[in-house]
Amino acid sequence: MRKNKKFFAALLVFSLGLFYSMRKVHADVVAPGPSGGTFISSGTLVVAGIVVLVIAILSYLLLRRIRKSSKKDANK
Amino acid sequence: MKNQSWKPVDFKSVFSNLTIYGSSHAIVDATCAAVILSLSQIHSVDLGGFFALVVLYNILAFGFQVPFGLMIDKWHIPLFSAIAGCILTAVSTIVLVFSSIIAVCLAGIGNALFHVGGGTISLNLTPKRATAPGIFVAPGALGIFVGTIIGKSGDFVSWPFVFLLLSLCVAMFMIGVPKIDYDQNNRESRQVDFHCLELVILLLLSSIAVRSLVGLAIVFPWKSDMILFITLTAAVVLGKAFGGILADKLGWISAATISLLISAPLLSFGANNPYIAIVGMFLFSITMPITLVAISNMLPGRPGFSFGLTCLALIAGALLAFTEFKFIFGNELAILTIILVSMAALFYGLLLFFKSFSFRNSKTYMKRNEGKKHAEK
Repeated sequence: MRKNKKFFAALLVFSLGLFYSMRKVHADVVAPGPSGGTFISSGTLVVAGIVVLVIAILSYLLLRRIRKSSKKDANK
Repeated sequence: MKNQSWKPVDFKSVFSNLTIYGSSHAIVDATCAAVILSLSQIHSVDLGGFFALVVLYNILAFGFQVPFGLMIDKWHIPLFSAIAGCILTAVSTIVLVFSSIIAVCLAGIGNALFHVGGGTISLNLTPKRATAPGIFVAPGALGIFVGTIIGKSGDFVSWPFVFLLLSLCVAMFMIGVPKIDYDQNNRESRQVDFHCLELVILLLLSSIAVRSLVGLAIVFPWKSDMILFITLTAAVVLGKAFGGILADKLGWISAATISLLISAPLLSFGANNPYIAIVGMFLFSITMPITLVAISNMLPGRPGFSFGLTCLALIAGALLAFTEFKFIFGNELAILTIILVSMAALFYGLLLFFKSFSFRNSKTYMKRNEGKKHAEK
């Protein structure tokens, strides 16, 4: 249980850092070329990051459930 | 749709399924790329708005394959999903003229439904093996290439895409689907040691995410030369298609690690030289079907969910490439390091995978599957 808490805490810290860096992106990322160092706001990217994180956490929890249920089946 | 006519997976069936689903994969990806890249020409979308639509499309197309995959596994509807995906993608080309956001949503959902449906079928064409999934996935890169050219040219016309997609839907319906194993508690699954299930899957998914990030972060300055760009696309397509066949012949661990080990210096230090970089991309793409099938074999009876997980890893890597990380990973040494880290993750993940099946290596695993196939015959 403690291991899981640490894992989720580390994941949360990493994700917050990542989302912070995603607030604005360099225009070159979207359209390579002479953008003159402009930045564009990327609220959608942050929302996208959160959606991916939520799906990833739910998938992880499902995988854990699969492991536990298969263990039970094996013991039967 | 539950009472589909099941057909045995003989060579003819494998060939016809792969031809239809592989072609559909290329057309679906081409349509989506053309729709996205035509947005700014048909509607007055600024750079920020265009970026938001691209991100929205990617999230729907890749992130939502996990819930759609679970849905397919639960209701056993891969054919319905593939056909619905093609139809939604076709509708997106018509809607594009009226609304950019609805077109993007339809293209994203259609793409996700097709991929996860077609992926489920391809995983069951050559069960436990990487050959069929590799051939199914490969034409996607070709489709994106063609769609990008059409979208950027400004000559996008919807009817050819609609005609092709609907024709392929009819073909999919006509050939039927192979027998798909949805049994989650079969004898095979009871023999698997699941105690490191999450770790194996995490390692394999992280190698996929790194592959996605590297693929988008590497800058090839010679890509504006059309012939070289076509050759690069062909290398990616052939790498994925032959990757599965090579891996089944040589063994998954050796094929995956050797190809990544050779591709690492070629891609990091040879990106400026087209010939070196093209060979590097060919080798780099070989691991794709291996990771997909290894994850699917770890989750028996859940092909849709397995396929969705790999696409979730792809979008996780791609999102990083949309940020400033792209420039950090544009460095030669950084690329070399992350490819080697991805290789280590894949190597350890595959080792644990074979350990969980109580096999020491992939060749023994293949031989056992061969033995089972002969016994069934």
